[in-house]
Amino acid sequence: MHTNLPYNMKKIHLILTFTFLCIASFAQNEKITFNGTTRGMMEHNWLPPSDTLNIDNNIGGDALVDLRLNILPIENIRVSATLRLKNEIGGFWGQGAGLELREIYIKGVAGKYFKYKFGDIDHKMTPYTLFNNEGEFSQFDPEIFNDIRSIQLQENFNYGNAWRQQGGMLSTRLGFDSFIHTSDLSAFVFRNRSLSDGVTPDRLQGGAQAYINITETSHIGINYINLFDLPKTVSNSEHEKYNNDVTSISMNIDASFFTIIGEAGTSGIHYIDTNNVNTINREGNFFEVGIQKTLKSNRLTLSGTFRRVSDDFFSAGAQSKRIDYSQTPELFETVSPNMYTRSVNLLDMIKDASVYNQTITPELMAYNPVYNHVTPYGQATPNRQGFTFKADYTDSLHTYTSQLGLQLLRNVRGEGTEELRNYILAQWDNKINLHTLFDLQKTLALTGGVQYARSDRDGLGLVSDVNLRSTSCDIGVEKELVNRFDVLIGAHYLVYKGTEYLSIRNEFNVITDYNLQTYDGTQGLYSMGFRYRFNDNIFLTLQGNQFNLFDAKNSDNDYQINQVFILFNLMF
Amino acid sequence: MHRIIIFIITLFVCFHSSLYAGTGQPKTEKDSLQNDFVERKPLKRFYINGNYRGMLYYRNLSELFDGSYAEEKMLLSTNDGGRNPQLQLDISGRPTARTYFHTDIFLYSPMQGLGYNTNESGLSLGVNIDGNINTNHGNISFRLGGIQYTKLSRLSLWSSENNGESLFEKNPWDYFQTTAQNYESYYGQGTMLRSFRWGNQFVQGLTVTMNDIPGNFEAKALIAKTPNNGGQASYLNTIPDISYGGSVIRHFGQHYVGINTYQSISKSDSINGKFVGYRVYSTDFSVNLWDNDLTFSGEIAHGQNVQSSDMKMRTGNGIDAKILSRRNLLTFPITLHGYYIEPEFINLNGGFKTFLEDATGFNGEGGSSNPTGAYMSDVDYINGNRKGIDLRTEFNIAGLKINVASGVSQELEQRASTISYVHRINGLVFSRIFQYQSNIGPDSTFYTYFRGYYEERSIDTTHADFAGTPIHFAVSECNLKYKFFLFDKPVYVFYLASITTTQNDFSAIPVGKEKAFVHAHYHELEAYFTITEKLVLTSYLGYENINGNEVLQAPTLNSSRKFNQTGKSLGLGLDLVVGHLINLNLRTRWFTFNDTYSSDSHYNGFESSLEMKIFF
Repeated sequence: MHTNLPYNMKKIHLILTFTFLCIASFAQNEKITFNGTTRGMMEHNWLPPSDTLNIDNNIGGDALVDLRLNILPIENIRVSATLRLKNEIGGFWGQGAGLELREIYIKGVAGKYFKYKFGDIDHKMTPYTLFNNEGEFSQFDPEIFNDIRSIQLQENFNYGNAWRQQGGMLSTRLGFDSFIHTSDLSAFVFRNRSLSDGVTPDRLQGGAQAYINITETSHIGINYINLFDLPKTVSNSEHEKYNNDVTSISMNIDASFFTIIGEAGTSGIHYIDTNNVNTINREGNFFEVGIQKTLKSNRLTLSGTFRRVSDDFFSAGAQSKRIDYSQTPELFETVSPNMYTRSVNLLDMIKDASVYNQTITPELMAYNPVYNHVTPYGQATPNRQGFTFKADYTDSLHTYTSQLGLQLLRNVRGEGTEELRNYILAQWDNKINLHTLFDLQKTLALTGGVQYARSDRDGLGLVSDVNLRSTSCDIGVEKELVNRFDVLIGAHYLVYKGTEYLSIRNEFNVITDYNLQTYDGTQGLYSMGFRYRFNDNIFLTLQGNQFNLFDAKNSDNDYQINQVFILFNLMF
Repeated sequence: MHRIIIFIITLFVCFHSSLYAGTGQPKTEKDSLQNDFVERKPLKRFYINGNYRGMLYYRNLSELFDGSYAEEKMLLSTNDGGRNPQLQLDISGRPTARTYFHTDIFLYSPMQGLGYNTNESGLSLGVNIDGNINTNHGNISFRLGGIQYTKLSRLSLWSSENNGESLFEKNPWDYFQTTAQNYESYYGQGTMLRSFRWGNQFVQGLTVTMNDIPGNFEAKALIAKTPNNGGQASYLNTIPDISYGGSVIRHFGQHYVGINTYQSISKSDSINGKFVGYRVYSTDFSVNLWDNDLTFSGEIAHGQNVQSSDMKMRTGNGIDAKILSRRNLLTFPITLHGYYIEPEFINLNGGFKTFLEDATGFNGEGGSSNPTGAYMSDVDYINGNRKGIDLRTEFNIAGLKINVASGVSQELEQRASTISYVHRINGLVFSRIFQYQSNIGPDSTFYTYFRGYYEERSIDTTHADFAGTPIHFAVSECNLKYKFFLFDKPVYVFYLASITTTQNDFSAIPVGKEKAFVHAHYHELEAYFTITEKLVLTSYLGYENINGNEVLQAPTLNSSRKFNQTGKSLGLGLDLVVGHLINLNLRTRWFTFNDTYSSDSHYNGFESSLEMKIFF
């Protein structure tokens, strides 16, 4: 019989027991329904023949079914579980195959008043409290990248800006007869960490929101979230405790001519060591206020805000990054004549699910400045103040969609010097549906985007100047050749040059040192492929990618990755 | 102060609010896409079926070689050594009319008394996803995943087929055997209901089939892995190893011509490696003449291969041809089949046994479970480094169905230093005792593979009686099937026999023991008595005798050059229909093996299995 099972046996049997109970129930009634995803992929990756020092070829793939059971025992309760059945291409007779519980939760309405959820929960609050910021360069992907990136997001439960958490949640709504419209109340507790190593205490994240909906379009809310340890989960004599709490008030007031938007709050990091001594108390604060105006029958939205995020504002739930730049990509770990361990590149962001982060972490995660050093932690990036302007436009026929963003920021406090950096981040993304514009029968769409990021600081001869610039542009074409058969083309080009200091922080995010880095290089990702759409949720695609990295400082760091893959993706 | 504020807020809430949850959506949930699946329409065409197999297996070996093998122990088990779980669930769904997925789960409890931690579960065949695209220029069907079963042509991608096998053992016909029905179909139709796997190779990856292409074309393509692409866990390998293949067939009415290729591609190293592997290019055809009574079919192939040991490109050719006359020529079917396969025509996934000089195989593949050297095969199996011809016919005399075949073959080059042959009679038993093992037995000459075992003996190429020329082979087979009624209930009797020899000179029929390097004859007699519609008594009698002469080398210093091996087996059993698609099978078998020239080369014992199979 099969002896090399890849998953914990106990877990598997729990899963299976559960599954079979469900199946047994299914045989008796129709309170169980099925949805899910199934996907098969084969890919060939290779380095150019000029690379004679590294593992240079990789062929493989996998096939999987995510079977989602929706169980409705009674009208107000829904139990849902997703079971993954997967096998690797090249694993025969049980090798590389296994069962996995992807998610399980229950939700329902108690006593007609309270909504509850328990298990795996996707949750977000505000950009400063609990918010899963998009990964770099993920807005307005060319269609050829979008299909693939969406799979990585699905793999990592990155649905919108919500974080996938495990715990419980309760919410309700109060209806008012006068003064205000409604009020939404919710509270949650998630488990962030449980290691069972006898040393590390369990860590929870709890929070609550109370929103007063003055009208249907205006609200004021209070948000609170706290990431905290439970010392007693280690032993009764332990005192070590960490907590990071954030409290904010947010508002969205529709003032007929424009909307006032804003949020302000404080954060704290507190740490009690094993001797019950409070060694860390860091307080931070932020505010953001601005106006938003929607014009032309909701087709053009303009907004402008000013924000100030202090250098010691820390919010684990809002500053954890979606892409973990400390991860070594799965594909070709070492490259180039220098045989160095490469870092996450443009191709990995689209194709490698393993570089995505699924956990809220209290430490500011690593980032790669060449991708975005202006707002690496989203709006909640600490030590930033300045203006943000946005303009979003979509015409009534959805022929043209455009998003323009400009952030003019500055440090709140100098880092390593009293001089403050100035930042500019400009982003412009567009999509034109030419088939709508020219009344064509077949789809013809163009996407294009550009991002420009820069930081400047005069070193005054004491330290090196900061002058990092990075420019990224992408373009994509989607052309339907015959019914549902598309040709897809996409390219993403990134050029960067300059000097920047990277902060080295301790576990409480205190800067302990700086690392001077000089960048000068380019990255290019060029793709072409074909896609057949069975319907909106099912497609077959064949794609080829080439990624190039050129390091102008040392050409021995240059490398290229080539890739061809076929993917059959079904959502049902 | 805080308490006053809280009190005021509480009062405000109490006097001005009404509590409800079902009518509003909390803002915190607005952007959650967790409901993404739930809100979709449930999958209507979703199926779960499968089978349950409960088995009790008992084996007691009275003797096993010199007594030093741990496998000699008595065995009580819930499995006979095959890969059969107690419960298998086949799960499939059809999201749209043109898409389909299938997977399976197996569950197995060895019942070792150690708790549920010893239970096993997983995927058996894995996940397969199908799609179908219909166009004005043809229909394209593809399947991604695996394990899946496919074939191209005999010399490119194929699995050998042999219809003459014992029915007593139920395992080979698993999932299909319904009590008594298989015996009737084996008698009436010459074969039994086969699994869809029959004749196909199993692969993992992408397979594409194109039908109804204008101009009467059809085509197949695959990019996939077989177990010969790096083994059963090649997904862990850092050296790439993959198979490509395809065929294009043009139909001309009842005739066709096709071109095929199959390529197994790997690298000599994970870093800067060069091509190793093999490529096969072939063309095959089938022509039907004389009112479709006479079929002339065949294939011509060219192969290239590179082995990592010397990185040299070698080439070889293969030819396989068959003429079948159904009725017009002799009033009964007769098939004349010939082949010519050069030693360097390498293909581990073809419908022939690639010539492997020794157990190192081809780049490490294929050697462990494939007989090496000069293999004494049955008529239906063809071999590399061999040319041969065989004749098969089948006729009926008063209800006695006689299928006889005879074949001769010869090595193309005298390159083999070993002769290998199967032990058919106790093959299943022995492969259960030693699963997938090499160099077993007192002289380390036995090798087990899937449901069988073979023996390998070295040739003393310096012996005076060895001509040093390419070795000749002769084989004759006879398969008899008879059905009669006893107390108005059908009784089926099947007899399967073959004699095979290998020797210096050509002989149209197997030679005597004195001339043959190895002389083997096998006899299997089976009888199935239908007692009631739901109960069948089964019986089996097997005998084999294999002799080797002085031309063979002694495996060890203390052993003999010659051997005289006898295997015997007696089996009894019952097939009982318990209910619709529910069978209960009892099998017992007494078995012995002995070599008169070796004091330690013997084993004997008894095995029994009771199995309940439920299909749902």
